[in-house]
Amino acid sequence: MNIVSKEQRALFIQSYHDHYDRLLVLAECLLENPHLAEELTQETFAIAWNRIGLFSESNYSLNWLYNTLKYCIIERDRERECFLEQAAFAEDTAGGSYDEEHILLAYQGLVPEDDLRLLYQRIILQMSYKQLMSELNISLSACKMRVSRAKARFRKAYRREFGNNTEKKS
Amino acid sequence: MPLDKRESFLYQKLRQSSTEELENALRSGSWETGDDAADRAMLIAISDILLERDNTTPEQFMEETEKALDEFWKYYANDADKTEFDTEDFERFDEFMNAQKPASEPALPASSKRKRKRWPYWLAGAAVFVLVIGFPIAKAINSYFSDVVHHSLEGKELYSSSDTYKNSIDAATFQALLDMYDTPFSFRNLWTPEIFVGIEVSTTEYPESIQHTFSLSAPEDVLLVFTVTEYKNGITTTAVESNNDQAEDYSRNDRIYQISNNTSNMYAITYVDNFRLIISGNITSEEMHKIIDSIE
Repeated sequence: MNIVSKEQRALFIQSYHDHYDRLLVLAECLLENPHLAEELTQETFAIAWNRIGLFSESNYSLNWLYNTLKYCIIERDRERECFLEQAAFAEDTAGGSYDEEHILLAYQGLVPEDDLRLLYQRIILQMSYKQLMSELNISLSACKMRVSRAKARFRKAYRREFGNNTEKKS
Repeated sequence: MPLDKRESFLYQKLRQSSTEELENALRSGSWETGDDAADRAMLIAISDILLERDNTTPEQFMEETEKALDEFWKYYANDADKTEFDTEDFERFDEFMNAQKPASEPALPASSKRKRKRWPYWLAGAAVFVLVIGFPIAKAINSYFSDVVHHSLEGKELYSSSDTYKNSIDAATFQALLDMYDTPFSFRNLWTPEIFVGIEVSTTEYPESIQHTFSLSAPEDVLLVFTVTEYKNGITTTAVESNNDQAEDYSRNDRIYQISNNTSNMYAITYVDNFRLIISGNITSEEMHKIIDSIE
């Protein structure tokens, strides 16, 4: 559980007001995708919130947030590569094209097709939650939960089927 | 002129870059120096300029921020199920942040049980970073700043601050400029009397030398000026001022500073290889010693 003091909460809110627009414009530059930029900016602040102890000790909060934003972007890319690599491994067709049908075929039967389609949209097409929520016609909160659970089911099923090759690369 | 009415060379030069050039610099990381204060100044400058070029008004930005914060509390905070980062991710996050070499940041907790198992990845990652990313970044830093410098070489003044903006000019700004020229002085921990605020940083090229100046001012037009001069062909006797009989030799960091005063100003001068540093200002002898002590 994240225990936050009044001072830390005040500092966080102040930092949010001070840096949200800066971080958003920097994210838009790095990502060229305004939906994803907005989302990763929020994820960045979510990490700061979850790591409030360390964040509040930071002397340069903007640098800290910017590095965190870069981490989020790297993680997103890493996850995408990992997913594609596993698809190639499953299909034994490294270097092939990774369209939706290819991915569905590669992981057919592993997890429900709805899960795979969702992961494909989220990880390969890099759709933001807001884009997904309007497509799926569900709330943002429900959307995040569905993605999170689809990922967990996928990891579990993949491990069961192919061994421990789902271990994330550093 | 109040401080917020002045603009550093950083903003001036960055404004000459197109948005695409700024975006490319941002993506390549070519502006990152590893110095927290300098990097922060650059982040603020780049984002300020990008925001300036956006048609959104400050009021709209404030409104958007409030809306985003509401959304943040609703969807992103306090709910582990709603974040994509699990414990393992946070381990990796700690490792990532530690690898950013933040000089003044507290170290994050060391990762636990999986660390030993994953070290070969990190080793490989570090090698890849150095070979694939590190070298191009170093090259890009050089090329980016060289471009900026050479772009403005038509006049003798390579850099100069002027005009308005909200960011202050400080020792980190001066140091960032000096770092481009590989000078032997470090002003990172520079101490100056509180009353002085940075007003200008500039670099001027002369036929036989390059001169970098950092000026600070206090009320009633009192100035404190640091001048670092690099002599391209070595320091000749004509470049060395005659000694003042009243001068005091003050040794610090393997350098000997000659401290003197005339009428209202204190002066200190020292030489390192082809470089000369002069400090001049309406300050006390004690303050001059303290300033010298803070220069590395």
